[in-house]
Amino acid sequence: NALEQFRAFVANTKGAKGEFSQQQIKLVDGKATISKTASGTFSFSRPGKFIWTYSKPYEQSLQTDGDKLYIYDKDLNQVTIKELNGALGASPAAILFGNSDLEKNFQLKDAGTKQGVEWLDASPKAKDSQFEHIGIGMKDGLPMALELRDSFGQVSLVTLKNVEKNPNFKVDQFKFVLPSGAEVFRQ
Amino acid sequence: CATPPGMPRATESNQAAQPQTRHYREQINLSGRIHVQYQHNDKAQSLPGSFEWSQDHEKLHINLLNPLGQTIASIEQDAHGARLQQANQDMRSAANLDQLLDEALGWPLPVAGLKDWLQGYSRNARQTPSALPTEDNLMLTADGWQLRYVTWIQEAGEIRPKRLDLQRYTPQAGAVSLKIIIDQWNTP
Repeated sequence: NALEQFRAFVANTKGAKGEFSQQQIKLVDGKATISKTASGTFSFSRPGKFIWTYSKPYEQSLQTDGDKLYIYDKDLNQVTIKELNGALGASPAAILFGNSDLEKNFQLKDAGTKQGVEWLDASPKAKDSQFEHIGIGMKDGLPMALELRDSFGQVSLVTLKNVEKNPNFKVDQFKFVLPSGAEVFRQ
Repeated sequence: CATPPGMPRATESNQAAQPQTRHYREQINLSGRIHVQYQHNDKAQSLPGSFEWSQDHEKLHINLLNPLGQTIASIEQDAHGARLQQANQDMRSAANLDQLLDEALGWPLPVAGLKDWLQGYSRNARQTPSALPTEDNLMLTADGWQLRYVTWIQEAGEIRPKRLDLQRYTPQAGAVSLKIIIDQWNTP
C-alpha cells in the first residue's frame, strides 16, 4: 500500500531528480477549474537539499543547501535568501526531500487507490501550517503526485515524471551559485 | 452601424498591426508575480510571491500566494466594505481597505491606485482613469507612490503594462518596494 511504499522510498532513496508539472486548481462556483499550470525540473538529496526550478510560465527557482533557502526570479534577476532554521520541516518539500523524522511533522495515513495510484494522506501536525491537507500518490515505489490543499481550499496538484532514483550528483550540485549581476536580499 | 465619416475602417490587417485604442476595463482578471520589500523593526524583509486579481463592476478579489503557490492572504472589496482573510487567522473587515492591509500585512498594498496603475492608467483631476503613455521606464508619482513602468507588452493587439515597480517611504514599513510582473491578462 501507499504507506509501505512511501516509508521504503524515504528509507532507500538518498536522492532523485526528474521533472514536475504543477496545476493550481480552484473551485469556481462549485466547479474545479485549472487556473494556472507551471512546469520545471527538480532534484534533491537527503537530508534537506533540493532544487525546485520552474521553467514555465517563467523562470524561478527555489533551492536549499540544507541551511539557507534561495529564491531566484530570472526576470527580476533577484535572489531572496532566507535562513531555514527548520522552516522546511512542515513544507511539501520536506515530504519528498526531508529526512526520516518526517513523521514528527506529519501524521501519515493510507488513503486508498485511485486510477492505479496508491495515495496516502499527510496531515501537518503543526496547527499554523499553510496546508489543510497534503496527499502523496505512490506508484512502483516512487512518489508520482502531490496534492497540496492550502487553508483557503486552493489545491496545487504536482505530478512528477521521469524520476531517476539515486543519481550520482556532482559534489557541489546543491551549492547555490549567484547569477551574475543578481540583486540579493537577505531575510 | 456605419463608421462615422472620416474614421478609418479598422480592417483585419491594420487592426492586428497597430494596437487598438486602449480603454479602461471595469472587468478584468490578472495574475503575475509580486516581490515585496519593506522594513519591519528596521530589519529588511523580502517577500517573493505571486498574485491573482479579479475585478468586475461590483467586486474586487485579490489573492496573494507564496512561491510554491499556497495562498497567504485573500482580499475582497465590494459595496459593503473590505475583508481580509490571512492563513490561520480570523477574517478582518474594515471600511478602508488600504488601511486594513497596512496594519494586517505590515506593508502597504495600494489597492485603490492599482485598480488604475495595473492597466497603465492613472486618475486625472476629474477622477476618471486616463491612459498613460506606453513608454518603457515611464516614471510618475501618484498617491504618494513613485511608479516606474519598466516594460510594456503588446498582446492580442493591445499594449499593456508588463512590469511595474512602485516605491514609497512609510513611517511604519520604511522604504517599501513592490515589483509587479503581470504574466496573465484576460478581459472577459
